[in-house]
Amino acid sequence: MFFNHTNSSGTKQPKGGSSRKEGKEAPFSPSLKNNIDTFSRRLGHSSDLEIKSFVSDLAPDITMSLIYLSEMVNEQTLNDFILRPLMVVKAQAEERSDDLIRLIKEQMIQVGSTYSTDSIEEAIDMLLNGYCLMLIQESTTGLMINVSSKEGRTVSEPTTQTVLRGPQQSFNESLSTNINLIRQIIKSPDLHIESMIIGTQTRTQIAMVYLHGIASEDVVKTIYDRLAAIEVGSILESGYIEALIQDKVYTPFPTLMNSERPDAVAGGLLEGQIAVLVDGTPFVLLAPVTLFQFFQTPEDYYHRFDIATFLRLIRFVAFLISMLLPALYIAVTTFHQEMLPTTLLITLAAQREGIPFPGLVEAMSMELTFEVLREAGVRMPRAIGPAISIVGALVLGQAAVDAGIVSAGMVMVVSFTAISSFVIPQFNIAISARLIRFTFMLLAGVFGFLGIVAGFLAMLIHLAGLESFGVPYMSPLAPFNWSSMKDTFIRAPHKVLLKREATNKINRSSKLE
Amino acid sequence: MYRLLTRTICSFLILMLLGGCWNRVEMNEIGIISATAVDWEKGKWVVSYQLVIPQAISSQGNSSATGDAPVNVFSTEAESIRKAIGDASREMSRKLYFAHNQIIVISDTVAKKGISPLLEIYMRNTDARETVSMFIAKGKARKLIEQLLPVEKIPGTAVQRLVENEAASSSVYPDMTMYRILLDLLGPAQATGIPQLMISGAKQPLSSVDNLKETYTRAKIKLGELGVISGDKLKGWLTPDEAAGVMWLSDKVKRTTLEFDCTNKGEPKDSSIIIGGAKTSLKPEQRSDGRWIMNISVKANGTLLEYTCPNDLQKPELLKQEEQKIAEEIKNKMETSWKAVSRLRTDIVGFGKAISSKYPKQWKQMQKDWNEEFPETVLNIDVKFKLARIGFSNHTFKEAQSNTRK
Repeated sequence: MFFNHTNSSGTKQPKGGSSRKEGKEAPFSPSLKNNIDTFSRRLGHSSDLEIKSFVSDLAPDITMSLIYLSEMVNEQTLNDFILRPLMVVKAQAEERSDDLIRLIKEQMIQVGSTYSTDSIEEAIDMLLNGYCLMLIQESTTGLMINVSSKEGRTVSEPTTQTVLRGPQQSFNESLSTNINLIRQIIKSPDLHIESMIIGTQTRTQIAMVYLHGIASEDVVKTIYDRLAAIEVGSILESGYIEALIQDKVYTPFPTLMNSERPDAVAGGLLEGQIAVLVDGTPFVLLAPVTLFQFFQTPEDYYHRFDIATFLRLIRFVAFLISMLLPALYIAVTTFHQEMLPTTLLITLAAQREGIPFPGLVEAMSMELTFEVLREAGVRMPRAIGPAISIVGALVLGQAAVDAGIVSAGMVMVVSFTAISSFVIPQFNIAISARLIRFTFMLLAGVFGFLGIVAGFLAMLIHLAGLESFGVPYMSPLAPFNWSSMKDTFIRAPHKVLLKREATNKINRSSKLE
Repeated sequence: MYRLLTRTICSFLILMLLGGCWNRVEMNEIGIISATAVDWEKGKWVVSYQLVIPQAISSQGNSSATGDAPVNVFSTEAESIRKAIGDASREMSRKLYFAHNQIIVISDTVAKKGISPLLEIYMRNTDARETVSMFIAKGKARKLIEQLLPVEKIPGTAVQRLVENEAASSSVYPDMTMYRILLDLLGPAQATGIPQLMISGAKQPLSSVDNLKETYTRAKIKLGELGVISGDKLKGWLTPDEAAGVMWLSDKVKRTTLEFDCTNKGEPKDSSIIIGGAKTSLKPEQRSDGRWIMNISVKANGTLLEYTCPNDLQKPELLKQEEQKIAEEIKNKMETSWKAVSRLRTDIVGFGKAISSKYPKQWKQMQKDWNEEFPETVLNIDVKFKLARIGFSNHTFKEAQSNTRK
């Protein structure tokens, strides 16, 4: 590298011990001007790079410089707690260079987080994070002062995972806020947080959170190793991390859960899951996860057990419907008409009179239309929201039937399928079901029920083979665990669940080994 | 991974060639048959189909649809039934679809000739379902499936519901579905009874939609007599009165209304009860001279529906008397039909079945000429009737009226 070269050749005065000479780590030059030049060159003379040089009464003969990115720092803090003390203090200091830096660090600066660095690379990293760098003539140590001001939302209500009853807080884009929200719920010293930085360009901060003693050591290690092995330029959202650490790439089923609800994440942590927080996104990853956990919401535990059980069962049924209903409809209407009651058959047959397409094409076109409408609903600006529903419901739905392009029964099937897919609390498993639906529709159109059964078996085989960080995806159904059944399809009363928790602690350690 | 993917796709494509969509049929490519009639004319089978026209039935769609005939009837003929059905493709734009066929009507000519070819079809084919109800018509069977029924839209379905309703509420005829007929004819006695379907009323049958525009119908479909089949041929007919006793003898009574005379003076039977539950058990017994005694015990209970005598029903001994009378009535019914059945020499009451299960050895010897020996059986009938409820009133209306006058 260019700087490495200039620094190592240009500086002939090694400063005792403090400067590290590692490959990339370029040390500061004793010349303030050189250092300032280096920084402005490295940062491309960016317009927001502020370099303020001044002389303090502290040591009138020494020039000092503050380097910072004006857009990243809070200038108020900078003025009040850094510049003012340096200007006001009268005492004549005897110390020079590095000693002077230490004096300033220890006595002058009234801002919490400061530390000295010898490496230009590190200093640049910190600058980009909103630190302010203080350099003085003759010193090869830079003083980093945290005056960052991060723009961010306040903690608001969750938008994607809403509940009727339960806390109405959601994570936001700031990692520290998110950690704070979790700490607020779990005030335990066992809550361990390990952070790392991933991404050569974005330098994204990532935190792995788990409850020591409850989370399996093996899984913690697996996730840590997989995170550490990531080599990418950029991480923009936790979806990148999910894609890079999941067990199997070629599967429609998600093996990591995400949540924007602190209570859901805390619940997961307490059950032994590990959370991965990524700076810049409110979506926190949770792993390991089983298929059945995608059908549970934190709300299940806030409602009475009978209501929660009912709602949970509804979700499982809705999942199957959203996956299989159009396929069943195609199979019944084109292969197995004898299965329908006579009156229903005649009603359906009457609707189909004059429909030009085969059932499969009809269903496919309607399903695709719906998917387009849904996508349009997400992408378009909020202001024209109602337009989509008018076009979708009235123009497409009603007119398609009136025009005799699709049958009314098919419209019903498609709408019910669509509504069912919205019942599933986790968006990423709902979208899997929507994807698989098309495969089932093709199978039904070609082989009838035979195809659906074959496809379903293939899907079950695939599911049984999946693992999420060492935990079988279909557990506790396969391998079967009776005691976990109390919180899988049904939600047993809390009294019963407490008993399970006690036995499960023993089970979990053996299960994951 | 890609190899696996390629393999999956390839095998799927090959499977598609193998399986293909060869039996895929869209619903607007099938002609739904709701009733079939089989006649035998001039040495040929004439098969008639009642084809449902969905547009005319569905509430959805164009207003012009209302007023159209909901069904269309046409016939094909050939030397075998199946060939006749196959020939239908020469005059129909759609594939005939029999899975929703509800009733099959055969003419008495066919029944006398033997119904085995028809049964053969139902045993052999998958698309013809054994839940279809069978009827015999005196005369041309096709006439019956041409009939429209008021209220109902699909006549075939309506007739099946008619017989189901009859079997459930008055129990004079059994609902003879194809599988019951097969069971009976393949059973020990090889005999069964099939109800007659007839058009009563005016000569002009109800085959035009215009007739439904009036508030009464001149002709209507109803159940007539009970055709008795022995082997595979029609042996004779039982009147409704005789048929009712058969139901009692063969333990098929579910709910039925029974009339009786409460005065004991041979007056008209103007009181009635409804039977809520009945159980007939047959106990065969062989006498030393080789003749069979059939011990028949009937246990039934019922509710009083109508009572015309000025008796005080609060008295237990009186109730006992009435129960006795009703039991006698049931016994009479059974004896009447026993006479008719033994006249026809056809065991449709299931005595043969009772003997074969209790005395399998003896049965094997006499099985051959059972229908001949069968009328020799001595009946020993014991009826126990219990009047479970007498309704809301203890007195007749007249009596209640005279009480208030006092």
